[in-house]
Amino acid sequence: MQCDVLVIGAGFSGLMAAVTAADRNKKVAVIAEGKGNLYAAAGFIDFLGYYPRLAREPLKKTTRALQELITGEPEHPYAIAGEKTIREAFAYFSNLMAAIGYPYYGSWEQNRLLPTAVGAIAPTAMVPRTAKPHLENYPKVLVAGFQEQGDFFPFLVAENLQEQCRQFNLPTEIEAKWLELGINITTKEINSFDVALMLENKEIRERAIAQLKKVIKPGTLLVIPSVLGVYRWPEVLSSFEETLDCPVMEIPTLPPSVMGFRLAEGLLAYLQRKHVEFYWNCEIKKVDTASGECRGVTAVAVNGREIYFRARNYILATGGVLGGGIKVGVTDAEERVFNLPVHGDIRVHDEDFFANQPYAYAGLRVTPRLQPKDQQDRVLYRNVFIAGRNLYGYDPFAEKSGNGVALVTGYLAGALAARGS
Amino acid sequence: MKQLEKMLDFCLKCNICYTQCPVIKKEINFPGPKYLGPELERQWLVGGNAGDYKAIQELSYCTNCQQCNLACPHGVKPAYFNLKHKSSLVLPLKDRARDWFLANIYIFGGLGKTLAPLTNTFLQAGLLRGLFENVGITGQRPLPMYDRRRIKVVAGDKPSAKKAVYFIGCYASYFDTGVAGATIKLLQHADYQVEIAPLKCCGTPLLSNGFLKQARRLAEINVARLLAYLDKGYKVVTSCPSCALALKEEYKEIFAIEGSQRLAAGVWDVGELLEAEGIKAKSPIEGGVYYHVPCHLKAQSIGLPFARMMEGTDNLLINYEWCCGMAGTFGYKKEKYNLSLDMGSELFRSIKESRYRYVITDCGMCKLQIEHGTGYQVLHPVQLIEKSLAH
Repeated sequence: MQCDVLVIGAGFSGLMAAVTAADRNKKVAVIAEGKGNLYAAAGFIDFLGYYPRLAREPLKKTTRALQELITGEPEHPYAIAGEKTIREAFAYFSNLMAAIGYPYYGSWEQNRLLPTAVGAIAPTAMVPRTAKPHLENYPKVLVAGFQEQGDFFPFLVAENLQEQCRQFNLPTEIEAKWLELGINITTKEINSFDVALMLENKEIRERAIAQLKKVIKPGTLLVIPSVLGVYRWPEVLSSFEETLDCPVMEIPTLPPSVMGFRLAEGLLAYLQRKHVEFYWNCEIKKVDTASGECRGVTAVAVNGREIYFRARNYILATGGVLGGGIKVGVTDAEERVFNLPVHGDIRVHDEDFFANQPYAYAGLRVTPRLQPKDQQDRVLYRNVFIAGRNLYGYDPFAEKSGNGVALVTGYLAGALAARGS
Repeated sequence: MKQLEKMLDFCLKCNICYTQCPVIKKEINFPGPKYLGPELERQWLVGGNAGDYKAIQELSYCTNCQQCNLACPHGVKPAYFNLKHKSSLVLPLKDRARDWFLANIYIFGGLGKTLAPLTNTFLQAGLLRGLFENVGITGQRPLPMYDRRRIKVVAGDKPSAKKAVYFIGCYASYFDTGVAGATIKLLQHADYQVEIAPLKCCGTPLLSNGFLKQARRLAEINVARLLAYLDKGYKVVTSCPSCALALKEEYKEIFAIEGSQRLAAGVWDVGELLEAEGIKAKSPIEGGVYYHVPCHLKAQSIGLPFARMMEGTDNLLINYEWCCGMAGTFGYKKEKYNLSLDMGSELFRSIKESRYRYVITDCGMCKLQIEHGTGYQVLHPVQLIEKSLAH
């Protein structure tokens, strides 16, 4: 099997890298052990929520904090990419998602505040069309949930959100309302994915809208779990907004995540149109490297036979510790594909769990071109590019930067891998 | 099935598999792979049949497409647990008999083929269709016609050291010998000496219908016969993705038959082998090609060999996103017929919109469904490649 760019991993950074390289007319293939975390995550693009990391207040504007970060932490992935690349990557993503038909709104330079599944307020940079309204613009908010759904509680969300709004000095008034789908399902617990599928049905949807119509005043912001259609979200969203004359905002739910699904499947459909091949359930067994280059990788297919992949450039986007790309032992850690050195302290410090945890920073050190390097800063493989959570030097949990780093470094790795061939 | 237990602990209930199930999207009552697979298995492990465990009727709605297996980022294969539980499902006798009949079509295959004009007239006759309808086989879908032509290998003029044993599979053997003919020609074109062995049905229809023991017996015979070829230096080649997946994965993962591991590594999808031999579509294929990628091809982790062979074709549209909804015997069942067409509706729409001259797919069952759902004629990719080489 031969291609220009071989992407290893199908999470957000891997898919971004694949899209970027495919858009530059390269023959791209993706090897993955399974589908990535997007299906379980919010589907928002965080960029930099908190800086300094232990600040209580989320950042409003991020530009100055980014400058500080770039000067103060030269090994942070954002510092490695640089502001110009960050700007390019986000612009590319905006255009891409518009072309895919699931547009994103917002900018990396300015955070928006969004309620979480339990009504906490969290900062994020970009959101899909279904979560577009700004919470702070609406004096009245109605949180609605469906009684049949087992994992979303509008009164809990409303109560927490009211408390949070007080803390953020927002004069918002929040109410809650249970809705009924009128569907009796006894075979399983209903999750947001199910409700989203059901609301694609006009009759069920109109029943839900009619219940809201009785209680909601035009101009109120309707906050609803992420259930506005899996595929037909434009139709579902507009029928809510138009019939009620209210803006509607979806908020993330427990997995499976509908907003994450739309983002992931949108990228996959785009890659399908570009003839990008996927090797699912495929594990890499060994790599063929010589004189500072990767010449090929050997993967094992489901039948146990080896497939040799020869590419000009390789992108390693295997998702760090949580994604399975880095395997952690008691005192050490190893990168599973190329056996690259893992830098940083991998232990969890238990004195204060909420303090800065050094383990979050552990990962692979790279050159400005995202090539892996050793402790003496020597490039290990010049045609291998590292993207996403494998990278050293950032704490996505404390900073709220996970998808932002995946987007920026996925884009950069894809662009570099396309240029190099 | 003991070997599956160790993967159970890796199920985090993240529900990614849930979003990939084509049945849930059209049948909201379906509990989905996570619940019917790993969760039911956990219940079973606690107390077996004596505990709270109860194989539930909805299991019969699992199509065994295995997209849940591909989705899991932690190596769990929910579909295999589904299959296991399906085999302990207690169905009404009528349904069980109907399922057994559909899963055993291979038994009647040889006879039906020999008496083709007669059987075809008989099968299409209103009387029999009415009878079928009564036992739960839909009368709304045409039954495939037996293909009377015999599959022959005309030996090439020069002997070759490259040898392949062709696992034809029931569909190409009994209903579409054109696929078998094109496969043999292309293998010979790649200098293979092709042989057809006396083999059994791969067992997929039995497996999908919960007849695990019977499927296992077929698998054991196939493994023994094919290993004998493998030992003589043959490659095992199939043109049916479901047969391929059975030989490549299910025999070893579900049945753990002795030697199945070794056999699996010697099995090739025909596209995979032809591509490795450097075969490419020759004269430009004009008018556009719509390629529907079957679920059991995606599950082999070999990428899209036929798409690579057709690189450079104008207007090649690949679909690996939409399911056709047929799922073998599933689409013939009366109570599942409408669901089956509903599951395929996005694919049908997309094919009709493309207005392409050729529609191709590797799977015989996808072919029947697409033809029924769109009215287009559908070819196996080997037929299109062979045609392009003949020009």
